[in-house]
Amino acid sequence: MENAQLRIAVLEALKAAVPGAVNDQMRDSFLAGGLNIELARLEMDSLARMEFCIAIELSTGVTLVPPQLAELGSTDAIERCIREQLG
Amino acid sequence: MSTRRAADRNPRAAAPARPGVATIAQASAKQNSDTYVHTLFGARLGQWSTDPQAPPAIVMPGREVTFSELRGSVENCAAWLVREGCRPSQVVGITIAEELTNLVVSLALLHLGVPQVCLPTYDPPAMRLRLARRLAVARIVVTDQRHALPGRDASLLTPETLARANDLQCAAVAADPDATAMYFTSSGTTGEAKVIALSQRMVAGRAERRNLTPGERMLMLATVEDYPAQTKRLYCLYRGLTSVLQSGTLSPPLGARELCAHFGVTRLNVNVLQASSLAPDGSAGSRLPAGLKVFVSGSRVPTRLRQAFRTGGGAALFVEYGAREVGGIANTCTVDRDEALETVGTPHPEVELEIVDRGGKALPPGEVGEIRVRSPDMIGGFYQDPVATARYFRDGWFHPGDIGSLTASGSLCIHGRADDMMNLNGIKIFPAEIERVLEEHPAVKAAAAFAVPSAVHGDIPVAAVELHDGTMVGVDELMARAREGLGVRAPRRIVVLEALPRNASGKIVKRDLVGAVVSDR
Repeated sequence: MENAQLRIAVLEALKAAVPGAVNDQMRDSFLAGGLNIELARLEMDSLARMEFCIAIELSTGVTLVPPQLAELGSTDAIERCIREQLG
Repeated sequence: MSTRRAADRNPRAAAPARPGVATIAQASAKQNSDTYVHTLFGARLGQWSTDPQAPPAIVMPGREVTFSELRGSVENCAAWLVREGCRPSQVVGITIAEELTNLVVSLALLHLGVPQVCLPTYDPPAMRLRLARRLAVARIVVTDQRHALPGRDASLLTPETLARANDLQCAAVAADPDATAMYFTSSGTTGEAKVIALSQRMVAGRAERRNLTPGERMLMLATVEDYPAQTKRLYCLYRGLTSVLQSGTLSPPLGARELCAHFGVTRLNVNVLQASSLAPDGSAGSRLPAGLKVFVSGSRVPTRLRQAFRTGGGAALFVEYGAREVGGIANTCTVDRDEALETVGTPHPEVELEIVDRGGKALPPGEVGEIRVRSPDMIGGFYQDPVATARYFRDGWFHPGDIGSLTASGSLCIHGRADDMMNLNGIKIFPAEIERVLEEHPAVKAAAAFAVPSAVHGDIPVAAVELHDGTMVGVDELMARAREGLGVRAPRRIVVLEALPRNASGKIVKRDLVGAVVSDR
């Protein structure tokens, strides 16, 4: 999976988990690689974390569990984790 | 492989004591006259053929066949089949797409008590061969030599064959009515097809119990090579009613509307896809004739389709629920019932039906559980498949694997297949509820929801949709609608496909869809 594809997958997962949390400016900056989003900033509840993990699994095949998200903390860390699992 | 062409041989040359008489049938009759009765279908065909009040057996564009003529063809064909080497101890395959010829061969084999299986022309040779091996099919009757299979004798049936068989006679036949007469495969939409063996008594019993009334003319749009279409045509003939066939001598062939109008069809059997294309759209020209009953079965009948027939005028839509293992289970006219519940009606009088919990305890109306049924004509298990038999046949009941509930008035609501029920982190989700919401969108022609397995979350619900011609809709719009209508039960991904994969009965084959939904990983 290319970096750009992975970024899109993470962005779509964020949108599924917290609808409306990512505005156009954030989206463009994130896709361009210039924005690392701190998950704490999005105030994700347990349901949102579950939705994020489901979306990531559907688009990448990589399994994440909700508690991992708190440990990873940011979108950059999540991307690294997915890339490692994809090998 | 040997292909034997009966017309190439002189039938009299090989004649035994009485020229052309089918000796195997005679011998069988003599040996078993105390125990066995005349084959049920043969006897019934004989009865209708001498009834001056009987309607035509078959009508089709450019041709009408009386019961007497049909009986003659069947007996000629039976005599030819005996001369070809067909015996009650051997299974015969039928690979014939043409409706009338297929029916004649099928009736002839029933007449002889020779077990039969349809090896459809639309299946690839490898698939037909697999089923032929499974059932130890010794001989295949074909009308096109290209449909012969390696390692199996093939008997080529041509118009000349039957004409030359005129001077053969098939003696009165007696065969065990409880021996296997027909093999069918289960629909196979959820896994490997299982084989169902029906005796002639079961087929006749199902025919007898069908809610058919004198004077009815039935048209099936499905190919005669498909189980429901073949058996319903046989039921019709068994009951002395007229079967309307699509094939005929007219070119171009008539469409369903023209056939119904031209031949006075009173009963039209279709699948959901066909019903959708025949549903009235508000214009007078789109209405099927008033008085026509359209029976739809095979899969979930969406609310919108029920509404279209109820409000559109003309023909009435009936929803049928059944299983090949037990026959018809229930049906309902959509005018009479609550569409929102998508009920399939009250069970037929001869069918016992219960909704049970996991422990097999019967549940009261309103509670959702597993459906179990039993009927006089149900099979006792699958052919040579003890594992599947143990799973689906328990304590004298057949468990079709459907989840349902009963209304206070006794109507059955189907919620989905137990196998298809998704468990997303403990949330139970049925595909039908997702499909209903998506199909409410005017652009969506059909939806199929199913699970992508997840080690962490259990089943992730996803869906594929097929759009009406000339319409467009964005995935985001469908996702939003699903979220609004279903909340956490909404599909997590929706893909729009040009067409959903379907089997010959029009059922969506969901196992073929998983790849389409997760292919971009």
